[in-house]
Amino acid sequence: MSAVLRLVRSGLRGGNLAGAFATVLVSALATAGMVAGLSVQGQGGAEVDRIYREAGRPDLVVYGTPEVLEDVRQDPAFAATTPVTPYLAGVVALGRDTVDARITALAGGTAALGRPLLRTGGWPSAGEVVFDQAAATAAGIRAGDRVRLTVGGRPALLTVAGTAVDLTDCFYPDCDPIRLFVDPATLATLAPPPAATPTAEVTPTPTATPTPGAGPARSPEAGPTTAARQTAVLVARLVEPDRADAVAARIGTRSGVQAVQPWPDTRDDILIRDRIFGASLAGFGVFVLLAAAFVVAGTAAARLLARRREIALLQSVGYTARQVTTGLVAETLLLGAAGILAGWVAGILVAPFLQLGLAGALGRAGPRIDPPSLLGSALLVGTVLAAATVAPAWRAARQPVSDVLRDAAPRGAEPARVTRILDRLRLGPTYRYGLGAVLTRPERSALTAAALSVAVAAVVVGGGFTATVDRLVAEPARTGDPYDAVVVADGTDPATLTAALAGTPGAAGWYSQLDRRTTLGDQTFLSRAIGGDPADARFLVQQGRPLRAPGEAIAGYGLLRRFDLQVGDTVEVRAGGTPLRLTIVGWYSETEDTGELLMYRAEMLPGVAPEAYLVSAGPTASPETLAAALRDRLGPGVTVHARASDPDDLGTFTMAMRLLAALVLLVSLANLAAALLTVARERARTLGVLRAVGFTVRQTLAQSATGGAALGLAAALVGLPAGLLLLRLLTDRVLVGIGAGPGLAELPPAALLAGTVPAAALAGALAGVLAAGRLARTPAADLVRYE
Amino acid sequence: MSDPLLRARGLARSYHGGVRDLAALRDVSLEVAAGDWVAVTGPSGCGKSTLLHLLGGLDRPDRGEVWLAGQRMDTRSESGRALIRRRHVGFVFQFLNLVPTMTVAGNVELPLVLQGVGRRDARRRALEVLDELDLVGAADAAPAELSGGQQQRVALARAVVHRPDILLADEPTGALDSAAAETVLDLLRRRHQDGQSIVLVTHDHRVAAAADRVVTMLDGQIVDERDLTGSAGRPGFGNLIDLEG
Repeated sequence: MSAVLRLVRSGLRGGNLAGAFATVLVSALATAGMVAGLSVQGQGGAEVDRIYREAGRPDLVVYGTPEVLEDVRQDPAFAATTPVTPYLAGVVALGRDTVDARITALAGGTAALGRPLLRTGGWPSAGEVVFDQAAATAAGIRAGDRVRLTVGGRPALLTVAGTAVDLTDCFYPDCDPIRLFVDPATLATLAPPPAATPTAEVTPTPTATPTPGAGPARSPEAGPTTAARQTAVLVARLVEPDRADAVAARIGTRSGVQAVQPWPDTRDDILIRDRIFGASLAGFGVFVLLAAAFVVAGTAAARLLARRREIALLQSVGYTARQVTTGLVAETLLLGAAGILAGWVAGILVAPFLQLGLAGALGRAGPRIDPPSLLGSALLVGTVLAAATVAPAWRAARQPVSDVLRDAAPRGAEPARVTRILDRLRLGPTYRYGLGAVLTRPERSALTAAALSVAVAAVVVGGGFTATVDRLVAEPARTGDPYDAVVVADGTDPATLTAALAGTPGAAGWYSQLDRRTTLGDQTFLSRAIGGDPADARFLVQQGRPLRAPGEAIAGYGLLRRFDLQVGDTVEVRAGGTPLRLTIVGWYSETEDTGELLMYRAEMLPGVAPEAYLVSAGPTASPETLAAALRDRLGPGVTVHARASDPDDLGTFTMAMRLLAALVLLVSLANLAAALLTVARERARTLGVLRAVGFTVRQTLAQSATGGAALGLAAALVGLPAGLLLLRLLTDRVLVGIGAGPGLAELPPAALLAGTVPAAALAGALAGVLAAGRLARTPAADLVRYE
Repeated sequence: MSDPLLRARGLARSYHGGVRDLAALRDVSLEVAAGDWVAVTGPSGCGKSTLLHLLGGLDRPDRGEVWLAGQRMDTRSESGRALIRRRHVGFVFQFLNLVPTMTVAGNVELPLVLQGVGRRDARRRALEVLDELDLVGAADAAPAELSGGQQQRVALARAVVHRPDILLADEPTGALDSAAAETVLDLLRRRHQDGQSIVLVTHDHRVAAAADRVVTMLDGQIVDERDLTGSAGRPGFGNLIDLEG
C-alpha cells in the first residue's frame, strides 16, 4: 500500500499543475451545481413544513357564511379550529397596480392555529395593518409605510405595523388575494355600510398560476375577493392530516360552503416554482458532471502523458500495472475530493440566493448544511472521476516500458488508414497534417470532442429553455391565461357589465369564468365554468378540440394524469353542489393547480353569475392600456387588473440557466485547449521535425488550428442534435411537471442554431492556436533536441 | 573561385543555464563547398549539434553569420529560414526522425508536398527513393513497425528525396548497431558520389573517416580541421584514424 501512496504523493507533488487544477475545478463545479439544485428543490419543502407546524398545522381552510361555518366547525374530522372569522374583501394599491386583498381581524387568544406568522414589526393597533409578507417584499413596503385600501368603493389609509406570513393560501404573486390583518375595531371601521353590501353569492377569483411566466396573480379557488360582508373563513387542523383532500371533497359539497382549500394543494402551489427551478438546476448539474467526466478523462490522459517516463521507471523497478492504476485513480480521487468539498460549500452558500418563490414570502433562508448531500455528491462525482481515470490509467500502466524509456512516440491509430482517408479529402499539407494529428489519436480526440459536444448541447438546451420560458410569458394562452385584463364582477349586473365590455376601446373579446371546488370520487380539484362567446376563450388546446357546447369539457394535462383520463372520456363530477356529466373533448395547456383543472360551459350552472370577465386586447392595445380603458369605461367601483407577468423571478431563472450553460461551455473550452495542448506537447518533437523539413511557424499553428476546428466541428455536429433531443425531453418534463403538458418546447433562436457549428469550429481553431502558440515560439532546434 | 555553398562566420551561441549562461559555440567559422562532405566530431557537449542546427537554420546564433546557397540565414525569421530549409536542406537526426502518425511513404513525401509537388508525383518519387534504399515494401507501414536501421534509412530517404543542396546529419548512426550503421554510411557515400554535399555530426571517428574533411570541436570551438581527400588509402568504415594528433 505504501508503494501506491508513494506514487500518489509523487503525482500530487510533481504532476501537471494545470491538469490538477482542472480536475479540482470541474469536480467543484459539478458538485456545486448538483448541491445547489437539490438544495433549492428540497430546502423549500423543509422550510414550508416548518412554518406549517409553526402555524399550528392549518390542514383545511373553509370559506362560507358564518352560520354555515359554525356548523362545519363541529365536523368530527377536525382536531381543532379557529373561531369563525369574518373578513372583508378589498383592493390595495401595490406599486402602479392594485391587487385584491382579504382583510381579517386578528382573533384574540394565543392559539397558533390560523394565526399569521409575524416576520417584521408588531401586531396592529387602531389604524394599523399587518401586511402580507410576500407582497410587502415585492412592493418594498415596510413597517411605518402608509398603504391605501379600497373596501366597497371606500378608500382608507392605514399604517403598516408589520409584515406576516399567512398559510391559508399560497404566496403573492402566485396567489391572491393578499392577506392583511387589522385589529377588530379597524375592521369595523373599514366595513361598508349595510346598503353597500353586495348580493353576490360566492366570490372565488381568477386563479393561481404558480409557474414562471404565469399570468395574473390569482388564488387557487381559495378565497372570495369581492366585498361580501357575510363571508367568513375557518381554519381547521385535522385528526388525520393525510385525508385533507377527502375531507375537503366532502365539506366542499355542503350547502353554504363557498370554497375549501386543503393544505397539500397550498403546499404544492407554494413550492412549484422552486421545484421546477431546482430540477432544472440539478439537471444542469448533471450536464456539468457529464462535461466533468470528459474533462477529467482528458486531463488525466494529459497528466499521465507528462509522467509516462516516470511511470515506466517505476515499472522498471517493480511496480505492477495494478499498483500503477490504483495509484493514478487514487490521485485523481484525492484531487476530486478537494473539488467536491469546495463545490459542496459553494453549492450550500449559493442555494439560498436561488430560492425564487419562497425568498419573498419567507425571507432568504440562511445556508443549510446538509451532510447527506456531501456524501451523495462525493459518491456520485467520485464515481464519475474514478470511471474517467481508470481507462487512461490502465493504458498508462500497460505502455511498453522500453518504448517509453527510449522516448519512442506513443503509437497512434493505423497511419495507413488515416492516410487513405486524408488522400480522399485532397487537402493541402497544412490541413492534411493537422487533421491527421487528430485522426491518429481517435480515442483522445473523441473524448475531447465529446466534452465540447456536451457544452454545445448545454448551450442549445439553455437557449431553448429560455426561449420556451420567454414564449410562455409572451403568449399567456400557453399557461392557460388567454386574456389581457381581468374585470372582477364584484356583484355588478352581468348584462350591464358585458354591454360595457363590448364598447371598450381596445377590447377585442371577452369570456367569463366562475370557479367551483369540484369532486370526482373522493378527490377534489378546481373546475371552471366558462361563459361568453366560446371563440373568445382562446385556450391552447393541444389535443382534441376547443370547448363549444354544454356537456363538453376541456381538461388541463395535470387533471388527465391525476385521474388517468383521456380525451373522449365522460366523467361525472360535482361542482360545488351541482352534479355534472361532462365529455372531455380536448386537453389544453394550463399551469394553474399544476394543470389539474376542468373547464365546461357556464350554461351548465344556470343562474350563477360569473366572478370575473377576462378581456382580450386588440392588436394595438397592451394589457395596461386595455386595463386603463376598462377602468375608464366601468368606473371606480369595478376592480380591473392588467395581466401581469413575473419578470424578476423569470430573470433570475433564465439568468441562472444561461450562467450554467456558459459554465459548461467554459469548462469544455478549457478542456479543449488542455487537450490540444497535450497533443501539441506530445507532438513537440514531431513539430520540430516538421519544421526541420520546412514547415513554417504559421503552418504549424494552422495545423493545430485545423485539428481544433475539426474537433469543434465534430462536437457541434453531435452536440446540436443531442441538445435538441435533450431540450425536448427536459422541457417536456418540466412543462408536464407544471401541468402545461408536453409539446410546448421552443427551439433556441435560429441565430444560435445557425451559429453553433461555425462557432464551435472557430472556438476549436482558436483553442488549437492557443495550445500550439508556445511551441510555435520555441526554436525548432529546441524541439528536435532529445537530450 | 566560386562562393562556398554554406558559409558560417564567427558563430556564437549560449544557453541559459541557471546561474550563468553556458557557451555552446564560441567564434566558429566553417565553409562547405558544393559536393563537400564535412564531418564534425568531438566529445559530447562540445557544440556539434548546436553548430548543425545553426547551419540548417533551426536556430539563430547570438553572433555571426550563416549563408546558404547565397542567402543569409541568420537574419531571417523562423518562417523565412523554414522556406530556405524546405528547398535547400535535408535533415537527418539520431533517432525519432519520423512523424509517427504518418506512413513511411507519407514521411518521405513531406518535403515534396511542401514544395507543391502533386500528390502522385510525390508518391512516385518517394517510392523511387525508397526502392533505392530497399524499403519500397514498407511504404504503407507505420514508422513504429520498422527497426531502428530501417527508420534511419527512411529518414535519409526523406532528407534526399527533394534533392537538397546540402544534407545535414546529426549522429545518423548513433543509435544503430554496426551493421545498420554501415548500411546508412554506404547510402551517404553513394549520395556523396552523386554530388551531394553533406555535413555530418558524429562523435564516432570511424564514421568521420568517411568524410572528405574532418572538423574537430572542443568546448564550443573548432580545434582541428583535416582534409582527408589527399590521404593515401582513404579509410573505410572500420578503420581507425588518429584525429587527435
